Amino acid sequence: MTKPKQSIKNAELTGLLQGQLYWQRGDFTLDTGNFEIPAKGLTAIFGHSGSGKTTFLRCLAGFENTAKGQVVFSDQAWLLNGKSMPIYKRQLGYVFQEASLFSHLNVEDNLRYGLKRAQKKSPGLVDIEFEQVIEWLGLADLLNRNTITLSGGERQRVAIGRTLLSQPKILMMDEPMAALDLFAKRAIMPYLERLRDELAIPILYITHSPEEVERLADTVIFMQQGRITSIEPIEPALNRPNTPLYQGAEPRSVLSAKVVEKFDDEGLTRLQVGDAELFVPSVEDAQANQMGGQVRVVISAKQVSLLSEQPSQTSMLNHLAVTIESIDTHNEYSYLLKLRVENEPWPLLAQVTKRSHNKLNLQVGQAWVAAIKSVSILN
Amino acid sequence: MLAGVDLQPLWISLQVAFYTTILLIILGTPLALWLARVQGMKKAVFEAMVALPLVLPPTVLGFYLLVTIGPGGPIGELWASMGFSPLPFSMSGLVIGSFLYSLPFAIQPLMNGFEQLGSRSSEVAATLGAGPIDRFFSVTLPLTRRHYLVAATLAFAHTMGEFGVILMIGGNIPGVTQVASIAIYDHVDALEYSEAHVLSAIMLGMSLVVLTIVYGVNRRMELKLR
Repeated sequence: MTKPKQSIKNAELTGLLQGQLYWQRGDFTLDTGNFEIPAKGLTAIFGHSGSGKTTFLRCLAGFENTAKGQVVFSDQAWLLNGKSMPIYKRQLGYVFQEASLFSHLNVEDNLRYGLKRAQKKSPGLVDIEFEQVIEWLGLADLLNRNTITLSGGERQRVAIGRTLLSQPKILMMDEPMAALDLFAKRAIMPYLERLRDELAIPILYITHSPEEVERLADTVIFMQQGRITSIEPIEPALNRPNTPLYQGAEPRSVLSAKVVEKFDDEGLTRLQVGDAELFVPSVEDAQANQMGGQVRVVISAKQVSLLSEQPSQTSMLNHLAVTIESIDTHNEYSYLLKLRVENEPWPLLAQVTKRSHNKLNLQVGQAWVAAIKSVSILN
Repeated sequence: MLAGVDLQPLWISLQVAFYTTILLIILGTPLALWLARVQGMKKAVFEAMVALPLVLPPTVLGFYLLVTIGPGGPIGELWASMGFSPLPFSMSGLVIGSFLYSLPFAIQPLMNGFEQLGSRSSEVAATLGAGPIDRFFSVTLPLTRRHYLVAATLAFAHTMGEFGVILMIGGNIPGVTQVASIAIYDHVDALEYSEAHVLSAIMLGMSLVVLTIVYGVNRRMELKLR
């Protein structure tokens, strides 16, 4: 059994779902090694198609009865010594790629299917109320509809609602947006963010989209060829060199920011990033429209240049005081710098040519001003 | 015209078909569920066994049945040791024979239904906290109800028209095991054409009515599922 390369040191990330799994069919082998999945927030399972993401989640949930190994969730042994607890006793919620609604029931009866059974099993122990889910997911107008008349996005929202109402202690989602078009995806994303922020239960979320990881994840499980290569908190996963998220793509950094002020006539929003501030183009988004709302911004490393001091006159809106934290070779002609904004936990990446690096004599620990040509809110 | 014609055989046919259909639906369900799930050689062998009555001459099936469930046969012995009256030449015997004879007509539509449905809906129901029996009645059965309708109709109709197997294991005891199809044969044999006409016409009319009802219901279910 292989151990995950990255051990989890963060105190918040106490392992809640843990174990190891082995499963084989044909040429494909899933061999996860030991894993510990945090109890809080949204954990993205990221990998290319064929890396075993879905197989891993199906084995975790208990759909594959030929899976070997062990899985312990909280104080429940799901798979132990070859004995598997039946899925219907596991208190997990699973959202499939396709909504898989019951076509013989209308929307409301679909939603109540799991709720009824949860109420019967433990009356009085309903944490997630019907009305609350209707409100969260905007389902009020759909209740009496036949499931066949729903759009793709609506179907998936009903499926998510139905799953939540079964009172799961953990929510598993297998690329819930993969079957949706771009428009429906954009529409459903805010609902997912809301779930992540308001639900007290952990979410496991399969995706092959770096954008979804950037926007939603608190932790990332990287998978490759049926193995878990590492489990990392979101910040290093996004910002370390060679992160699998951006293989072959241009390096970029993601920072967490707070909405401070909106300038509607200029179409700009002012954000607080650590001790510095950023001006970004305003976007239509529940979080971004709210003062104090948390958003994530993305900045391409190529869009960041270094100045020796704060400019007195410039058309560039964003220039932040930073300290060079590390210098890594990016390719033959350029370096990738990790820059630190005071009091901001997530670093800023800058790509500089070797020529500039030598001319400016860049060194770790130096203070510079990072000028940023373009920055945008993730949504 | 009806006066004087013994309608008892028709009544017996209906009873046999009714009990056989009920039995086929109840016992056929787990078998069809299992057949829809297994794969490879096992599936081929069992599918062939279920389909056997389609190609076997009814007299062959009837002969083997008689040997097995008759006194001295393995099942016959067991049956007798439990204190039951012998199976051949009884209503129970007819139902057992009809069960095997009509098995493929019930199993195949059900199996197709379960295969088309796939495992997803049951998986979803499991994650929503439904146990296996709950899942069957709340999801699988309603979603395959059209297949159940087809299975029940075919099983019923096929049993009503049965001749050879019943003749082999049931004999032709009026009022006990004489079914309509055999009674018609006897009437024709005795040149009682008017009696044969009455029974045949009733069978024809009944079949037409049953099928019309089934197709009508089927259409309505289809529209509802759309």
